[in-house]
Amino acid sequence: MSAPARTARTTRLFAVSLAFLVLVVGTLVVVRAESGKADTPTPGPSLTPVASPLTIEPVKGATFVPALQGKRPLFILLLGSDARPGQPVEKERADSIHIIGVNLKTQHATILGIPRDSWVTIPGHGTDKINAALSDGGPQLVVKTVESVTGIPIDFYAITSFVGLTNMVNSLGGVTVRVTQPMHDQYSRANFNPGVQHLNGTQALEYARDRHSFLNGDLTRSGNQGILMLSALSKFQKTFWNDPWRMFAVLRSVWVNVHTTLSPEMLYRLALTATQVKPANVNNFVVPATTGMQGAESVVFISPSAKALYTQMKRTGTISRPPKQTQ
Amino acid sequence: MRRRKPWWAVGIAVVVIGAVGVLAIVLSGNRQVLPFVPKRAPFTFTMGTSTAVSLKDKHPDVGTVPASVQTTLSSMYDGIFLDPHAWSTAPPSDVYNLFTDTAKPAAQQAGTSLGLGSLTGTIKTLKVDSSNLDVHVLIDAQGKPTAAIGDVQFVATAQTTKGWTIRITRNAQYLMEEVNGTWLVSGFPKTTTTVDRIVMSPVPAGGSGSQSGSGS
Repeated sequence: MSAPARTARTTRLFAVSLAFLVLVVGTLVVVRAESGKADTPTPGPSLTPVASPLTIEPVKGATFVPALQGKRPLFILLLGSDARPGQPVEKERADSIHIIGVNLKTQHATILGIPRDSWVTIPGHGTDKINAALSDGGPQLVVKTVESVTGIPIDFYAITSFVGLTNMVNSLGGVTVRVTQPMHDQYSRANFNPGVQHLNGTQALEYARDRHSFLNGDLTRSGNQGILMLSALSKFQKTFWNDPWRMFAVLRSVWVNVHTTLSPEMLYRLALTATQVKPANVNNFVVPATTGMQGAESVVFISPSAKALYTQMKRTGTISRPPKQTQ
Repeated sequence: MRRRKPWWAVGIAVVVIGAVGVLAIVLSGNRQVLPFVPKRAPFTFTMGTSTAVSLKDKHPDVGTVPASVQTTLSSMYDGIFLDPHAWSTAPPSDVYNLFTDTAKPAAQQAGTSLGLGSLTGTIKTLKVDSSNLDVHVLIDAQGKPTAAIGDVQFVATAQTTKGWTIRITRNAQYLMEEVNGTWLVSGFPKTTTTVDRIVMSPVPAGGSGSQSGSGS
């Protein structure tokens, strides 16, 4: 091959290579630009919504909240101390005593109120009103006493005070209850007419403390405290489903206003579990009992029929039928 | 004597035809027939605010939680909205690795409902218009993050196989928990998605007659 021919061939090869390179690079540039468009936020001011005769099918989102799982029911003892500001919450008397049983399989629960004047055996302290167990030995002794009386194993306890209850209700933005009979009591300062009432923290405390407005005093009061808990559950759920992250502020309020054996993580998991328990699936009962006298003291005698309830609650976490109150 | 066609002209013609074909495929949006997969830049949420609720009266430090939550949720949205598999069939299976063991079965069961839902199979292309991620952290009394919630807003414009242009607006909150140093999705309590059909218009239509649907 002559020199000019070789030069011409080299030139042609160069031209072909250059053309190929340009095309390949150009293609890659276009591909990359197209690919980048899928990821780079781009303003869309030129996209103007217009009327469309066509209905677009809604996109339904999935929902999942992790609830506590377990083979046996979970039991929490909620205590309300009558400690005034400045007094040690765990060394005064327990005005409010409730076992919360949760069936983790069915997401059903029961609130079982134990009247504070219940005449029981307090381990190591003889026989006394159950509310004395708190001042005798703190929440741990109340747990022991309740376990001894009911046979129900308590997993955690939480105790609050007058101020604590007030603060927690306020952190929820108040609660709503249905008042079934007039409540006008100078001691608790409760002043409610029958009907649906929205209560702030102070009013909730008055509602929870009033026993003089009722014939069976402590028994109805204990039931009302359960109603307050149910209302708080409803309000918490509403808060959570509207804006889940607002749950954190409620948890903080609970944490700073109670003394508890719950860890922060367990409190969080319990709160998530609470979002799964429909208030309609929570029974609110008070142990069957009668009022009477023990010496000069007005006390409450727990009915022997309560044993069957304890057995059912221990097994299932719930009580299916309301106990028959004898008074 | 007939002159032979130069061999290099044939070569150039083949290359040009091939390149034009590739360009046509790319511009038509049907990149699945390409012999290579163009690399996508991963989606990343624009960070909004980070707040902390402490169980103690201290000034809590959210530490690296927001960044980790951002990484996880960005990867999740990359899979459930921006991956072409999610447009046609379902999110890629590795999306489910972003969930805790407890939440994973629920996420797998939810499948397309995590993202495009009933729009799956109708999307041709999808571009992000805007995004925002707020992170809320619950910090225990010892200063350790206990839980977090990622609050996302995500707006994308998509072309459907019917030729519509739709705007997808997603608001959602995700429960997040730390597992071995990584914040994973432990729950998805709230998801709201609205879909509006839109058209390119140089003049505002002046009406709010767009059709929309929402689900939560």
